Amino acid sequence: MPGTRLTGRGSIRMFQSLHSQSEAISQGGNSAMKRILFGVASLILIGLAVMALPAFTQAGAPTVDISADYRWSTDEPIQWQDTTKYKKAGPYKFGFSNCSTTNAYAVYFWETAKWEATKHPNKIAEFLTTDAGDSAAKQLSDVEDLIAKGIHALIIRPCTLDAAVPAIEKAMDKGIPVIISNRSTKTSKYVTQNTTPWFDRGRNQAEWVVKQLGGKGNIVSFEGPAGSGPAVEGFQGAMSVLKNNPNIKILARKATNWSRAEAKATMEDWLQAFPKKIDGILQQSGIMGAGVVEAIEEAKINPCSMPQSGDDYNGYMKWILKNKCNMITTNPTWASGASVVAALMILDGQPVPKQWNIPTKIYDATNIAEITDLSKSDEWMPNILPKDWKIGGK
Amino acid sequence: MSQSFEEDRPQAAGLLLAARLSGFTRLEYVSQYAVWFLLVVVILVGAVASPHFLTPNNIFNVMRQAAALAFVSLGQTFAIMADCVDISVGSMISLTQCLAAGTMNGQAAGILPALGLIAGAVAANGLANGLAVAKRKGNPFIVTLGSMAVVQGVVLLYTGGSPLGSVPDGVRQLAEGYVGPAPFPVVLVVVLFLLAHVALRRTRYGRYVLAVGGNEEIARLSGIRTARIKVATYLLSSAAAALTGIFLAARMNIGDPLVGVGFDLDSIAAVVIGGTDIAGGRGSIVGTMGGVLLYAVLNNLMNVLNVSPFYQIVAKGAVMVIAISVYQLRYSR
Repeated sequence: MPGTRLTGRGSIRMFQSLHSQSEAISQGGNSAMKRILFGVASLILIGLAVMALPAFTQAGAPTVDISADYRWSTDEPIQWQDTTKYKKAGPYKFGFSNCSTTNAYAVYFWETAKWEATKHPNKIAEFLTTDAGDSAAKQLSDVEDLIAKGIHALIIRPCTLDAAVPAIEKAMDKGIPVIISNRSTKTSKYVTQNTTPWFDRGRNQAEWVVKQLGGKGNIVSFEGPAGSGPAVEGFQGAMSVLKNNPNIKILARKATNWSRAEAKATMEDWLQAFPKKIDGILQQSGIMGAGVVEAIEEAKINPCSMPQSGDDYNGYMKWILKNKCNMITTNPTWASGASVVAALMILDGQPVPKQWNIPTKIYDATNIAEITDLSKSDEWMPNILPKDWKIGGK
Repeated sequence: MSQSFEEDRPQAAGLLLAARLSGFTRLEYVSQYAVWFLLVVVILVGAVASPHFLTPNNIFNVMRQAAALAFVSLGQTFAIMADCVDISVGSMISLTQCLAAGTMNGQAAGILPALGLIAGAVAANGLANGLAVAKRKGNPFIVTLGSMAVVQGVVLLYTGGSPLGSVPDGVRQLAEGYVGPAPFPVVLVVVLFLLAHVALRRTRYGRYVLAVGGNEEIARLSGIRTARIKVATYLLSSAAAALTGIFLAARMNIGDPLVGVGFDLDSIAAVVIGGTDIAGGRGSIVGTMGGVLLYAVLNNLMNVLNVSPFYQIVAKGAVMVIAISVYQLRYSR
């Protein structure tokens, strides 16, 4: 449990108190007693040193109590980043470059960032935000503007793997720590990355679809915007499964841009183009998944005959609860909050993992009730915002 | 080659052009002042609102960001003046950026092939647009709407939908380099705008563009080969878009099939805000510079003031409506 592990400093104090105690004893008692007590003290000291050793060998793991929501995934070995060179006294000016807020996930992501920033009023003097409107070119200009305004740390949700890479690298070269949030980037010049593990999600989704189809059948694939981290890495994750299943054939793939309407229209077309041939659907998102099942229902086909994956968009989750089929892998909206906390830790010189992935969970019809909220609209997604937080507020 | 009628009947043609130009000069001054006035207001607001605004770093940032729009608006100015609006420039920017990054792929050896392919694309698009509008009497808006779709399709086929490629360091200097204290793109914009201004006022092509845009029938009767002027103008517009594409490839170090989205309408807005009449026949290169700067400064000001992105879109639209209404009042006499 965080916070209960003894650090190097703690063991030193323990040693000092033991030493003074043994000094006091040695002055009063006989030599045999002295030696025994000294021996015991040494054993205790060695034991404590051994316990404290991991803290040192990990280049000083952080001692701060990070909220359970922001805890990083430990599926991969942790690569600690030494951030002592970024340490500076507050209060800080943060720059947050967002790709856009044109879908449900992005809205909750954005609001969580703003909320987390309000929790540290003494440390964050200014929280500057920009919105690139889904344009990689604008995002480059936005980051340049933020750098010109003298930010101490840059948090960025890149529109695509290539978006703003020159500016990200320029920021790092200038000593401004960069934190990548939610969507990945192709450069490795950043301090930490709080992304949803897109590759793992793609892999989990493909594994489930393959299993439902018994390893044999035709599938179609719906993906996010071309060139974006979720789309590219998600599909790579899916391919890592599909390459071992040669009897699964991809009939068609399309980037339907997290749009319910686009996904629905595309599925309508595919149902015409491949009549009775689609067995399963590789789906990256719940928004698009909701559109797809609508298209299938309107074609008078039972949607449960085409197993589909997705994410925790409330509209899709409500459908799963009602129809008792399909599955999701979650896309945590609080990655942005973790980024704000990561920025504070970096500017405090505390080490952070290079890959600070927020774990994703799998739900299907049997347990989706746990995270679905029937009282909320389709556009809701699970989040950690307080009940009284107003969307679109300061 | 036959002599143009201009030589046979110098007086008539001369009178026509002189009448055009003098009318244009009066309006031009007023329009120019409008955009510069707005620009000064925005700059003053920015200077008062934030200490960062008038720093050299920020100014150069703004001008570098404006460079992309400046190049394409240059071509668009001639196009609109000749009554040949070109809305395929957005897709051309995407295509040329992807051709540049995709063919070069970070290697200097790829520069010449990339330029060759881009020249081919410019020639193809410019000729197609120009011939359709000139010979087939196609409506420029509809024709370039069609070519915009075709070019966008070509980009998506070429790239497979995803961003690709990269640019060698030498070419990146086009966007990142400096000439003394000034960023290279800024210097290039100033030089090109000066050349264009001189071309418009002093060369025959410039005069003919205004004549063709003002009244095509009269221009044709005066002996101006209107078809050639239109084709040349569309080639110029595509070339300007190609320059923007190459510049953006250098700046972003990637070929993004959607990078040009928005440039078509933004370039028209910048040109019209700068005082060029959307109906053609009168306009000013310097005014376009003002329009581009106003656009970029407004963008930067709203970022500096941390205005919500949703308000930014509304604000830009409002400025455009105000500016265009002011001109329409004067033009509709």
